Amino acid sequence: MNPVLRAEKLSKWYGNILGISDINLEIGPGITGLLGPNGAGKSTFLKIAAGQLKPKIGSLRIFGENVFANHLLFKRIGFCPEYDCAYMEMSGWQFIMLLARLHGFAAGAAAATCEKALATVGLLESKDRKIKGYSFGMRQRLRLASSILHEPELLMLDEPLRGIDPVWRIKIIQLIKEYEKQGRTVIVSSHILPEIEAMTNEIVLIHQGKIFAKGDIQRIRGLIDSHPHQISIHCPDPRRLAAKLVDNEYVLSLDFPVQERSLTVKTNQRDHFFNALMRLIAVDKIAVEEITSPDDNLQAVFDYLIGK
Amino acid sequence: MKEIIQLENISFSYGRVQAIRDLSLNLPAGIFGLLGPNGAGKTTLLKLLLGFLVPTAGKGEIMGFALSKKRKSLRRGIGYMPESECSIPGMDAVSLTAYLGELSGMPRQEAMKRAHDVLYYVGLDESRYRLVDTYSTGMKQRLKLAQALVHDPKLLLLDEPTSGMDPAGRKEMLELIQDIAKKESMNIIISSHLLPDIESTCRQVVIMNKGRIAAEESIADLKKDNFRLFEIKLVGEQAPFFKRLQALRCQVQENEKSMFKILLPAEILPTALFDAAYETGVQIRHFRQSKTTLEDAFMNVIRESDGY
Amino acid sequence: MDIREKGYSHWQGELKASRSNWLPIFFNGIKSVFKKKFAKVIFAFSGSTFVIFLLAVYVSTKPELKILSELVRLLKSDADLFKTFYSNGFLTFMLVILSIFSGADLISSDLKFKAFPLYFARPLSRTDYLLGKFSVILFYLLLFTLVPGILLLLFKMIFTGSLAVSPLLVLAILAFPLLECVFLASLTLALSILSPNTKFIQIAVFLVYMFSNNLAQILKAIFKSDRFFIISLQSNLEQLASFLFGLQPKYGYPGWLALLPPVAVSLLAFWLLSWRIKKAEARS
Repeated sequence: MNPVLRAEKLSKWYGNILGISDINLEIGPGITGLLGPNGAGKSTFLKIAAGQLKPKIGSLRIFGENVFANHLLFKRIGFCPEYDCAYMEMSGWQFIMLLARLHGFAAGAAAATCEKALATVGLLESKDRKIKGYSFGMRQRLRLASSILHEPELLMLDEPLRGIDPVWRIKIIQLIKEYEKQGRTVIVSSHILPEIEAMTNEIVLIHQGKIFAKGDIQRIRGLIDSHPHQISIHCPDPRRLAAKLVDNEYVLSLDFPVQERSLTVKTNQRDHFFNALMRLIAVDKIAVEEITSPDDNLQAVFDYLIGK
Repeated sequence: MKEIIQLENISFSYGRVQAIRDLSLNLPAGIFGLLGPNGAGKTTLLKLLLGFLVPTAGKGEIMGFALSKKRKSLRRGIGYMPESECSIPGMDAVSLTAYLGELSGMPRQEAMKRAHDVLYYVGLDESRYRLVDTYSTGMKQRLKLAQALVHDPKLLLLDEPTSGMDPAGRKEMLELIQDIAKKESMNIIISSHLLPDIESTCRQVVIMNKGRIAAEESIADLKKDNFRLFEIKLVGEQAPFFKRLQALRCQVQENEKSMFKILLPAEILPTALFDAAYETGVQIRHFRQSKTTLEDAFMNVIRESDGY
Repeated sequence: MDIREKGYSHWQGELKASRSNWLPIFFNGIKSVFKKKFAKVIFAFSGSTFVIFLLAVYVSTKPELKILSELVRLLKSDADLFKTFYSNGFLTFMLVILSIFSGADLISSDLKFKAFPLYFARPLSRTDYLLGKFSVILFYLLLFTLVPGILLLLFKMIFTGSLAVSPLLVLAILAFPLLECVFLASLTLALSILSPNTKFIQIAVFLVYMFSNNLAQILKAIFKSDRFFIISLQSNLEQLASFLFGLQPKYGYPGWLALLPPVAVSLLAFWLLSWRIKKAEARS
């Protein structure tokens, strides 16, 4: 099956400054999170994918076609940029109608589409207010509405939840997940890792213009050998449990956090460890209240790969 | 314990728009998250506390000083980290921080000494002699924190402290806040849209909606335990395990991300889960009592208070 | 203690409540003006009239020297000396330049870079803030008017060897620069609070100066009356100086009327400043 987006040997720089270098990437339907430190090249990549920048080397194809200046392809792509851009003197309604007409909607259809888009982001009530009277969060939602109004097959969102309050955060994340269920492709770039985790398990990590990791968060975590897995066990008698574990080679370290009745185990062989733990609980009757993996999350993956 | 903030029937309107209606609040010492939808009045409340705005009705006291009457004494004990991009150009970080410290009432030499200390604390020691015009977003955020701390305030007001920072910066900022929070006699109010940020730094929250206080509770109380509901993650052949659970009349529900929620009937102990796991050769790699998420608790509070 | 405690440390000091907590704004402003490009050039030009007049005073006590004889002839009396010094066109022009240089960006850069939340979270009243900013411009303006004026008086007394001086003259030597500088400073500061765009303010101040002079000339030419010179910044100041020093007024309108424009403009400026600063604080 052909991927929705395919980048081959993609490189772009501005004079001396490197944007991205030798990116090879395939993205298929579903939600993919795009993350990286500031200046890593995320925005450059997204702008090339949105057809606004031309690659210096290599190609980026969407639905099999080169995307730069390919305006027919833009019908199937939606892009919500990070920067604040709107005509302040227009009302929200006028602005989004303008964009709808530019997309090629006839007047009647445009009105219906715009109403639907505005209703989705909760701006229907304030549609006649001038944009300069909108708060930052409202302008953000307007940008979002304008990127989804033509129901694109590929949606690219750069920091879509900036300035959005917790109520609308939840609703917009649900909307994005709806898109996944409809078989569309969404690429979300964000600095707020819990947001990405709430939406998807598939990520692409960009740093210094290159891809540092791509795939399922858990699998990536499993592949990072240099940082053994941490498993935190809350139990009434952590030292007794520790005593039972300490003889095993796959237990690399045992930690007793202050002020908690718990034990943190580091191991590189989770299979062996959990087998032993299951036996200890079921057979030796060691009481256990909670088992968690504190560094099995996106922040840890990010830190381990990017951190110095 | 003496209350830090006491507000009685405060109201405030911007012209005809009533932003705060009849708000009463009694905050003891501690660290509080301030949450609410856009337009709930969070920013207005902060401005009222700082004396930028004068209430149209009601009275209050902050750290013993009458609101809007003893503004200078009040501001001496408050450190404010604004959300917006703000700076004084043409100065380097040390000069700027020392200048603002002097304006808070510190003698010049003390202000300079303290500025260095505080800049080291927030991680700007390498760049403290550089002009702040050259600072990146993350550095500007840290500088805003530094200038809020320079005069050692008793009450710290942080407005979206991680705004615009990349994942590494966010983590460091949250760690800084956690560290400050550990210090006794520091009172902090953090206003943020990001529930994960609030959860990692605060134990208590104040939720606002429609110009009123909708809830003032500890996070632990909001996230009520579901005593019979457990969330688990498995590795191994799941079918036999679930068959066992059904035999014990446990209800199983799959969430996203391969997490299962298991409702135990009254007479079954949690150890039964481990027995079943051991006997069917399955590893339970994640085991925790299910709590409502802060997100869900927040939405419940808002929904209830919308009924007004 | 053997090892310094890690993490955040409290400050073991006391915050002083003081009446003059606007002083840091003042000192900071003085320093930053001084550090600007062209500062020394502008100061040099502004001080040049003082140097020339100082020389003239010296020369007037030594009739054998023939230089600057024209200027010396003009300075028939003490009053003439000071009036001519204070209201000479070049000095007034340089004072306008100084006002723009030291004052145009004072509040407009705070508007542009949104520094108000940082300022007003401090125990600073709106008056403190304005006073601190105002005193920066006032300082530099007085530095090139009042200070040279007093120095000229002192040197004159040294050169002529006589301490005889009329108290009214001393009063005038102090009053005129104060009126003039408060007027220019308040005008510049009021314009500075109107826009975040400093270039715009700089041009506006200069335009006020140029336009007022030119308009007066035009109106005089049309209506043939001297009264229009009251709106000219330059000419009105000259008239005011003549009035204060008890000399024959240059233009055909009563000397005391010349007090009105500076006082009126200053009051208007103060009102504008207090109104806009209230808005700025609320918007922080």
